Amino acid sequence: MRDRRPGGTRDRILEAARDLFGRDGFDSTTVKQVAARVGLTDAALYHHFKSKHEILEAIWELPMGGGPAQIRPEGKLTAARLREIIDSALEFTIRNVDYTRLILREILDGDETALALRRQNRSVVHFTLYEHFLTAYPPAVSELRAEATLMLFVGSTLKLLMEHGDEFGAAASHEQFRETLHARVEQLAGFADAVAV
Amino acid sequence: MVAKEVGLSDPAVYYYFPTKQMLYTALLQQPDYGKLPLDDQQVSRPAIIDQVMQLFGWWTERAEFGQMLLREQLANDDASVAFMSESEEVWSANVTAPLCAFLGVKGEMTAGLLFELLAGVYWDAILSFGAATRESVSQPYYQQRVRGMVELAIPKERPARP
Repeated sequence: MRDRRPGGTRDRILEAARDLFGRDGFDSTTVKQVAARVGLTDAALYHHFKSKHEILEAIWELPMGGGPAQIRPEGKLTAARLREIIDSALEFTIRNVDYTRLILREILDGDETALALRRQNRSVVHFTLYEHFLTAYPPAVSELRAEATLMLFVGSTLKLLMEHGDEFGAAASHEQFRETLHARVEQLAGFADAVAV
Repeated sequence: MVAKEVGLSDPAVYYYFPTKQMLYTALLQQPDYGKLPLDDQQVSRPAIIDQVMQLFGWWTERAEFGQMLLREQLANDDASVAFMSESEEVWSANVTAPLCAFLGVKGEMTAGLLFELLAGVYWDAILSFGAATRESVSQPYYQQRVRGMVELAIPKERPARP
């Protein structure tokens, strides 16, 4: 009987595989390494998944918890609300860092599913930002500000991920990093101008 | 495959680059941005924006190089990650001083903001467009969009002294 309960063997295999694929790359990771990580023999692992590729397919189905999409606009956008969205996106990235890294590496290796997943996540975050900017700016301006904010977030977090690798979570939680990111986002969003006037 | 592309035998390539890693490291050359708008223009907001767009253009022209770098950087290859830090220094050398002349105390922060903003645009384009990155980013519509984002990042006036 295959153990499909949450937290069961199947889930543990997927989590281990997601970490290893994200860290070392899909091609460089062997089924044996994944199995070893959860204390199984590779024969036992093949009982749950027929191939390494089938594990990857199943990883794409894993739910991603939470995220900034749950923040809805309330009244006119404030600097404080913008911080909240950025913090939420940051928490989301920290929580899903192995998954994110796996998606990005797989996209560069031509995986269509990974590309589609990133596109979907990207448009959800973009839309959340857009909706918020709409409370303060006309549509065309809001769209560009949302895009710019998202691009700054991507640049900032990817750079940190490259520099810190497995220590990303600690680095992204650092006060200095957050303050710098917030200040930059505020300048980009036009809040810094308002303060200076 | 590399040997075939340049019409050499495998041993000939190994003569120049004993390992693939050495060949890769030799490719990590910092940009020579050539002549830039601010080399002979007064510092002004439009000239700074032109300068930034020209720096970004250098990277757009080399999207395949960027794609290769991104792959290695995501694998936390030390040489490739160090290359990014050096790129930021070369970038800063070309934008920080004019930004400080224009914005005063906010200049340095704005230079850092622009680097991360455009790195984000670049990486996002590579991830979204793959082999078609250079072509997609060169489109007038896309260039206009990037310019618009750069404009958002640079305040219109020098902030009042606190």
